[in-house]
Amino acid sequence: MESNNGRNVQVILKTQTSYQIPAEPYMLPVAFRRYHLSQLINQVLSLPTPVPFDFIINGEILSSTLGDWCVEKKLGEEEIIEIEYIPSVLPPQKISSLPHSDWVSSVSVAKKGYFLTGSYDTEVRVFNESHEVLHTVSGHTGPVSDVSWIPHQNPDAMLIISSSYDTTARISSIEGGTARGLASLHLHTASVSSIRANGSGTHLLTASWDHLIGLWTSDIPEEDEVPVPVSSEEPTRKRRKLATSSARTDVHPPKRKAPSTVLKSHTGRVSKALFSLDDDGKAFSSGWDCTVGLCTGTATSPERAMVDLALSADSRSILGGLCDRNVLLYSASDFPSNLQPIMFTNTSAPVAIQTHPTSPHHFLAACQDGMVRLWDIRSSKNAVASFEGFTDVSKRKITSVEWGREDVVAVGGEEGVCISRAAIR
Amino acid sequence: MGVPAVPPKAEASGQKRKRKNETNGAPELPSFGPLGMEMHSDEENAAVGSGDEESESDHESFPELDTRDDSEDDTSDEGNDPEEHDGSSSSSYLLEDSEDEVDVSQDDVVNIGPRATTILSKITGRPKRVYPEIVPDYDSDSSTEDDPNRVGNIPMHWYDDLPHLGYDIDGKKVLRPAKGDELDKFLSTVDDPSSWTSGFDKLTQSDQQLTSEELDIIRRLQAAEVPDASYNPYEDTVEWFTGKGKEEVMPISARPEPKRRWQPSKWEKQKVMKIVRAIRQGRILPRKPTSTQPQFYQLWATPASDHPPPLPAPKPPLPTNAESYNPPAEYLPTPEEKTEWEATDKEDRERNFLPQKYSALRLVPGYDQFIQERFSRLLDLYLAPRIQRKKLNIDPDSLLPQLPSPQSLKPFPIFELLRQEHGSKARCIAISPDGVWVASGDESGLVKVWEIAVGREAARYQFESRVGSIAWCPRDDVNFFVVGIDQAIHVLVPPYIPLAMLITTLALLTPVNPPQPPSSSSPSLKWVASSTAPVSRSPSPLLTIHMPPSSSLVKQITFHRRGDYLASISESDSVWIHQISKRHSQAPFKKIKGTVQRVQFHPTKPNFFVATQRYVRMYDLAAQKLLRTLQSGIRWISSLDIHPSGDHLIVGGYDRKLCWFDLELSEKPYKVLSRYHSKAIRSLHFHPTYPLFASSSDDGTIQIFHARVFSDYLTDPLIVPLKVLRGHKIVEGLGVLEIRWLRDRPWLVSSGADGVVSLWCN
Repeated sequence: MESNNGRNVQVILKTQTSYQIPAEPYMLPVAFRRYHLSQLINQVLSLPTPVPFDFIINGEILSSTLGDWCVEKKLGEEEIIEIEYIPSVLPPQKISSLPHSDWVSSVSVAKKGYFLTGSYDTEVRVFNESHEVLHTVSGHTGPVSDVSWIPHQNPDAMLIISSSYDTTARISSIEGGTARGLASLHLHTASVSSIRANGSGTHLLTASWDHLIGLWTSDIPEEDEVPVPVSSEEPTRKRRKLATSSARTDVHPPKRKAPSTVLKSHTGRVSKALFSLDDDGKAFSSGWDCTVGLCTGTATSPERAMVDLALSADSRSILGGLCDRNVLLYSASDFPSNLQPIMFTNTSAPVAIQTHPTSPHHFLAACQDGMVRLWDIRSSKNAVASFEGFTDVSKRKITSVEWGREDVVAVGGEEGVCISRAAIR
Repeated sequence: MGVPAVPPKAEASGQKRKRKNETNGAPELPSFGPLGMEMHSDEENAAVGSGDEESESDHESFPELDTRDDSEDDTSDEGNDPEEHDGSSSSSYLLEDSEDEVDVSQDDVVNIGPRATTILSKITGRPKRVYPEIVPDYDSDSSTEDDPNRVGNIPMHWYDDLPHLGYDIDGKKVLRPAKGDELDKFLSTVDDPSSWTSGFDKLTQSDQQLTSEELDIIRRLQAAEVPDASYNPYEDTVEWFTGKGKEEVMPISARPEPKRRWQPSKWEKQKVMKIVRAIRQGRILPRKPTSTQPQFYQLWATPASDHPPPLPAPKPPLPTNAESYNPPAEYLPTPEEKTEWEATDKEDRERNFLPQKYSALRLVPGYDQFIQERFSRLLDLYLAPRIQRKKLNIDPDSLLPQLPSPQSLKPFPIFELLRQEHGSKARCIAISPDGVWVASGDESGLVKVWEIAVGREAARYQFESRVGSIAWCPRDDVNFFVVGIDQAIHVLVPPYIPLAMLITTLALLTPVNPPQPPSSSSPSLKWVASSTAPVSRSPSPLLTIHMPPSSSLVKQITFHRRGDYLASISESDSVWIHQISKRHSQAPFKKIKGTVQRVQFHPTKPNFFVATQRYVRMYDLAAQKLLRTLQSGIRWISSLDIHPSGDHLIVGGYDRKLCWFDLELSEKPYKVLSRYHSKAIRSLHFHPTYPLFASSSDDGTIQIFHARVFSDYLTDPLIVPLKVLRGHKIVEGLGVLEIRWLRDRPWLVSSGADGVVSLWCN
């Protein structure tokens, strides 16, 4: 014990954040833990308010003492350990919840002050910050699978896009307190799994289970571009009856819109299609045929279904959630020529992944076991933090997760929406 | 000589103490001159009074001994070494005749044995010791010593409880002397200066003062000297034959002295030279360390040698009838044989002797070939190498088939992605062909339709009694599933199907003009369409097939690959084949032997498999005849599935066996897998696209096998066990009741008796 206490290890502390300290080796006692190292950096920087740091060695967050880590990894005393440090993440805290009668399939917090939810009861709801339902957008005849805002120059414009199991997607707007369907997008023959707009709001991408990706403009056509299907009368009548009974109240039916381009590269269900954040000419898609696609190439990880896709805030990395409990990270810059993904292994299969809106290093993985895990891509071995989406043990399934500005995390699932705060420094 | 040392006997037999006093009180007794000198020089007995010493030494010369007595045996009692006596006396005997007594006093002589007197020999003129002779009469016996207590050598504690100690020579009791207490004892040690030289005498039960001779012996023994005071270890050499004036001038024999007396030995020299040469040449190392090995070593430290132990010599063959001294007549050689034997060379003879007949064993002459035969045998043993041959020299590993590792056979399900809970035993499951929905039914009559990757329950249908079977129509253009409840088969439409598909489905199930059932149809079986308008989430079935009232629960429904025909079996062993589009049902078999366990359509041909309790029969539906009967050897078949290629069949039984049939090969199983499940097999399913199949059992496990079938008929199917999926609990002896694969994905859905429907993912 005495010799253990007296020993030192040589470490180099580095960071890619603004908290730089001189890059020279330090002799540190082996008994140092995260707290001591954090104090050391705070003292070196003489920060006005102390900032806690986390320490990453070889992609693993240091949780024990340095000596224990050396023993565990069988490192000799002479070796210099390179430690990267990052400002640590505060433990996520639950703030409130938006209960729903049915499962929530999708939630969006991209527009400040609003929560947009899409539910399996075919409704799209807009909540304000005090959790009151402002608007209910009807129109779908199947469960809503994805909802999103269309970015607009006018911040007051409220344009909503939603995709549904009824094979259509919709553009709706809220004007003067009433919700109105502007256009319905007709291409797919199976459930539409996701819909996303690009950064300027001019184009839309839909992904569907019929292996197709549709590229659409966000303009509202004057006339129906797709004719109303004419088929045998009776089912249509029934169908219309059905639709009438459910939602259709407005006198102006939404225009039937056709896609500008159809992308047929997937051979299985397409789970997500996204525009690149910095380049409107680029888009990524993920599918159950286990591929991540770009217009120019695909990355295939055989026999594993990719259920969700996300792009990091700096568009440098592509994250794909796989059904085999892994999250893959591809580098976007040389995609798809370099296909050596970094693997983040959860204990349960992820159902949704979401990156931080500003931090390029953090992402959330919502898993089948009801836990949301916060990962730092610099630490590939273990998650930085994890929290429960819903507390009810019997109803804790998660379907979606969204990480908005001001560190708000909205988790949609079996019980509705749960809003937490996960702050990154 | 010893005359003055002889006291009267009566005096000697008195008590010692008393005698001592008497002697003290009678100094007039004659004493030796030397004793006076002795008294002065005795430093040991300084504490004892000098008079004491003197009188003691007087008395201790044995009174019984006659100075002329030369028997030394009796003196041994007193501790004198008889041999020393012998030596000294023998020396004196030589000069017995000269008895010139010289009173040469010896220093330091305190002797308790027979007192030796030193006299000057008349012959040699030197002093010599002479011992008193012992007269061999009664008195010479030491056992007749004056002991007051005559009990003899007995344990004295026998007298502990008695007031007396024993008996004297007259038979009078010797009374126990008064014994002081501890204080007296202590005082006596303080007061009496001689108490430390006294010892306890058991016979008299009292302290006896040790005599100065005894004390002297103790002192000598302590000093490791000879106890005999009179013995002089540094005596001068007596030159009997040598010395001046005693030289032998005349030889004893006149024989001339041999040469060897003065000449060095030649042979000795040769021997020495041999050794010297060996030392020079280094063949002998003088003062070589005897052995470098340690004297003690660990016996088991070195591993045993891998050489086999020397083989025992083979035993010579036992004698047969021909070797007998009195062989049966047929063994005796005929004269022709005899001449032939003699004519052949010795090496070419079949045997090296001729059988001979003797009437008695004693007439048999000595065997003159004995030495020769023994020599040849030893030569054989010496020259012929003996090795032990193993019967079978095969590496046992090479007998095992080369199975590829499970890692190389990915993908296959390895973990449970999600689970759906039912309240009661989940009996049956069906998966939609597009791999989106799972329908699971339980014993309480609840059918759930849920989305496969999300786990959200999209619809639920509640029926009155338990669900017997569920099957999903395999067609891609329509989407419906059938549920077998009681004597009815309900056709249901899942929710959220696309509009175009819903339209075609409804057109198929509830056409505007429903087809009239053919006249051949059984009148007791009715097809009833739902009267209400079909809504996609309708809890009521669109179409219901009511089986004849005599039949019971529909326990299996299976679709033809085209999706138009479905076969159903009831627990009352009735097999029906229904056609959806024509709403027509027929029973293909008039009479079936045995209970029908499972039925299955052939995936490519119009063939139909029926598994009864012990056999699987294959019928041609078009020709309406039995094609073949497969004998599985299973006592009670529980499940059956056909490979998508249609050439292979697996059959599982309640007796844990799983049989793989190659339909091209034989009616017997190609392979029987009986070790993988510990309880009855419940369900089997081939994966429609991947080379996988799974079996579930009542032991709560699901076994995943890799089953690769080769298109050429030469290569046997490759069956590799891949994975055991555990997670289902065993409830009431039932484990995993049904398993189904997804069509285009290596995922497995299993339903268990614990009410859990699990999705297993790769």
